[in-house]
Amino acid sequence: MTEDNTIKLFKCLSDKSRLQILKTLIHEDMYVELLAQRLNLASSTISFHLKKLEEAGAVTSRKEQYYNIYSINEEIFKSSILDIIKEKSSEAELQRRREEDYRKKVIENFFDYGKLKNIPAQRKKRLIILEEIAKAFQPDKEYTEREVNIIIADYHDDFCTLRREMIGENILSRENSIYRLIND
Amino acid sequence: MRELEEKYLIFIDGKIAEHNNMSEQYKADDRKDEADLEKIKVNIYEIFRTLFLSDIKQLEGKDLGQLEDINIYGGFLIRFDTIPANWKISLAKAIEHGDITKQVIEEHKLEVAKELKDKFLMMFDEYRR
Repeated sequence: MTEDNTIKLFKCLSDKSRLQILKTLIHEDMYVELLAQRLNLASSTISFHLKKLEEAGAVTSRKEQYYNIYSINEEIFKSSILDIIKEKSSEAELQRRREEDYRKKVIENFFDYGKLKNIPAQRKKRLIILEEIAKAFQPDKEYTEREVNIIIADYHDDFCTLRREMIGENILSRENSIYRLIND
Repeated sequence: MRELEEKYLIFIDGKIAEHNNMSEQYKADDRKDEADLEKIKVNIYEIFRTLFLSDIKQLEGKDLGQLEDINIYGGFLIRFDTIPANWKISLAKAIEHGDITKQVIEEHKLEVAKELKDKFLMMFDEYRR
C-alpha cells in the first residue's frame, strides 16, 4: 500500500460511524437503507460515509437488482501496520507527491466536473490546465484545426485562446494547419 | 420589533444552539464528518438570521398597518429562492456525477432553507389569526 493510500485509509477509519459501518459489514454485505436502519443513521449519512470508505478502498460495492450492495474489502485490512511503517519514502517520492498534490488542487479549483471554470492568469497553473486538456488528444494522431477546436470547446468556450496557448507552451504542434500532440 | 419577528429569531437561535450542540456531541463521539455537517447547517441558519435582521431593519419606522400582508416580508421570502438557486444547481451536478459527498452537503443546506421558509410562513399564518 502506498503512503498516500495508507493516510487516506487511516483518516477514513478515525471516525466512529465509519467504524460502526465496517463492524456491521464484517458480518454480512448490506445495502444503504439496511445499514441506516441497523445503525440508526440517515440513509444520506450512510451514503456519505460509504463513499469515503469506498474511496479509501475499505469497502467495495456491486449492483444487485435495485440495490448497491456493500462489502468489506478484507484484503486491505490484512496489511500489517508494521509493514506499512517499514516502507521508506524517498525525497524524490515526496517531491513528486507534493507536485502531484499541487496539480490536483489546481485541477480541482479550476475544473467543475470536467468543465474549465476560467483560464488561470498564473502561467504555472495555466500550464497544468493545458496539460490536463491535452489528455483528450491522442499521441501521434493528426488533427485539423476544427477538430482541435471541438475537443477544447468541451472544456471551455474560449477554445481559440486555449489552442494558441497549447501551441505556445509546446503541448501541440502546428504545421500546414495540422495539429499534433507533442510527446514529452 | 414585532412579536412575529422576535419569535422567528428565537426559533432560529434555538436551531443554531441545537445544531451547535449536536456538532459538539458528534465531535466528542469521534464523528467528525457528521459534526461538520451540523456546522454546515449552523452556517445556513446564521446566513438567514443575518439576512432577516437586515431586512426587518429596513422595515423599521414604516407604517405596516395590521401586518396582514405577507408581501411586507417579500424581500426576505424571495431570498429563499435566490440564495438556494446555486445550491440546487450544485446538487443536480453532484447527482449527475455521482458525487455523494457534495450531494449530501447540498441536500443539508437546502433542507435548512426549506425548514426556515416553511417555519416563517407557518408563524406568519398563526400570527395573523
